[in-house]
Amino acid sequence: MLKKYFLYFVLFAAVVFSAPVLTACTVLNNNPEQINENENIYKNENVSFLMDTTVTMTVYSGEDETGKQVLERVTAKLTELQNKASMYLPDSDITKLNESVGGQLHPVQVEIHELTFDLLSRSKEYSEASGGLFDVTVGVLTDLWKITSGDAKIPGDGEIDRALTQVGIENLLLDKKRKTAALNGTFTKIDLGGIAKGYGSDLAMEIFRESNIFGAVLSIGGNVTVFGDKGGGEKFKIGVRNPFGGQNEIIGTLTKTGCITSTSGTYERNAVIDGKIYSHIFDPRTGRPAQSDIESVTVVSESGTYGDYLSTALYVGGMSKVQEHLEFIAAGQGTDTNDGLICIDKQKNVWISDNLKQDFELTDAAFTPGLPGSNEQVT
Amino acid sequence: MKNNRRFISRLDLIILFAAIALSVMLGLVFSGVFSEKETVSAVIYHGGSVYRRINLTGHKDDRIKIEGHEVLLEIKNHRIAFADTLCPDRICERTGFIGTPGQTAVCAPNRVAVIVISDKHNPDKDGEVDVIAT
Ligand SMILES: [Zn+2]
Repeated sequence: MLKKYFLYFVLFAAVVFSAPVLTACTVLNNNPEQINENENIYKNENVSFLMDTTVTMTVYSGEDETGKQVLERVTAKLTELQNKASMYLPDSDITKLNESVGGQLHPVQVEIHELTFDLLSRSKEYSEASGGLFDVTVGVLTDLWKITSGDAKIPGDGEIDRALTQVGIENLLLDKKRKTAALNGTFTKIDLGGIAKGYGSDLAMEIFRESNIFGAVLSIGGNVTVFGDKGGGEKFKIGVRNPFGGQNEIIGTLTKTGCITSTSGTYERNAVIDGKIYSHIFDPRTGRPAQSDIESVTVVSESGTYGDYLSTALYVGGMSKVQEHLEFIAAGQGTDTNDGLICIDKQKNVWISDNLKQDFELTDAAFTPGLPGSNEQVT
Repeated sequence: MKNNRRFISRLDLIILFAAIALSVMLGLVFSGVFSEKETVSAVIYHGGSVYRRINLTGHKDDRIKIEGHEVLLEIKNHRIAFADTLCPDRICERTGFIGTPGQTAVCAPNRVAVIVISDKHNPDKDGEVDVIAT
């Protein structure tokens, strides 16, 4: 009998003292780098200041070293893009191209790196397809209004008209064979601000795809790239910014992966002159900051470059263009990059394309889902 | 007696289950599932690398100066904000206090970023997002 109770005791003690350790390991692990010991999920993150904005990135991988390498590769690629395509860096392709005009009788051919040439080609293609809503030759307007530089001013009508003579995508000449570009204007200027972040996101996505990682999330100044998951099937949650609130306020969440988001809104990088808000996004048709009836529009696409272009064009085009696009998506006529959109109007209605409704959750009660037809009643 | 001959008696089973239940409870307590407060940290990045990591949950009100820069961060009620920066846009100061995991505040001209993270891996907590599309 005594022997039996001794056995009970040994068994009891063994279970009580061994299992907690196992439970603790499986349930949670406080080490911020290796989040799950049993499944080997490593989390690596960094922050950098590139392309005139803040870049944050988190990579989840089965090996610590792989995650670190992916962070480095993406950062290096975005640095390369910045150095070649920035209109503010003295040695970039775009600066050289912009400085090639002035005083010459004929357009001057400027040699362009492959990466920048590809971005310029895409920009030209989209500018031509936008029906005047998007144009990368608005650089002269950027310089004239100085919206983002801190000393914004309202130019005279004459100045705006004069600047408008230089805006037009036909002024950007590209030679595919020689990889050269030229500007056909006396002071035409390229500004890739409406598309470069999306292009950078595509470059990052390419690296994520060819790497052996569980997933990654990247934000280039709010342009979000999500790939895979956090390991073990845990999905990424993207907050959609509340355009009426602070930097960290959201109206809802989007649970989706394998896509890139691009947002255009009045709240970002604007200037207030005499109590009036001026957007940093220009309407190429008027030469003035876009006066949109949209508060913010987010395009979710498998192509960051296309999404960045589309969000800018829709912002300039306003609610009527957004409605057109929502119907377009509902009819299954979207592009092969599966674009979806989330749009917030001035009345706090949230318009979501059919293909995103399952992935989006509205969490702020101050906003209401937009109903077809309700847009007309408001105005 | 027939019962005594059984390899595992009812009492054995009860003791075994009690032992397993107790051990799982102990495990959960150790891993912090039952601790009410999760601890939250602020990671301060400067120029792309981690400058300092502060446990906000356990930190008293404080002011932190970033060496070599006119940037002052303030910690108040377990939240953090840019307090005084000599920067042209002051977007950083307008962001205000942050303290929920996922929130960020950035002073781009000074290349300083603050990101609030949870020290605990807490997958499905309401309102927490991995990133904000803006
Ligand atoms: Zn600042």
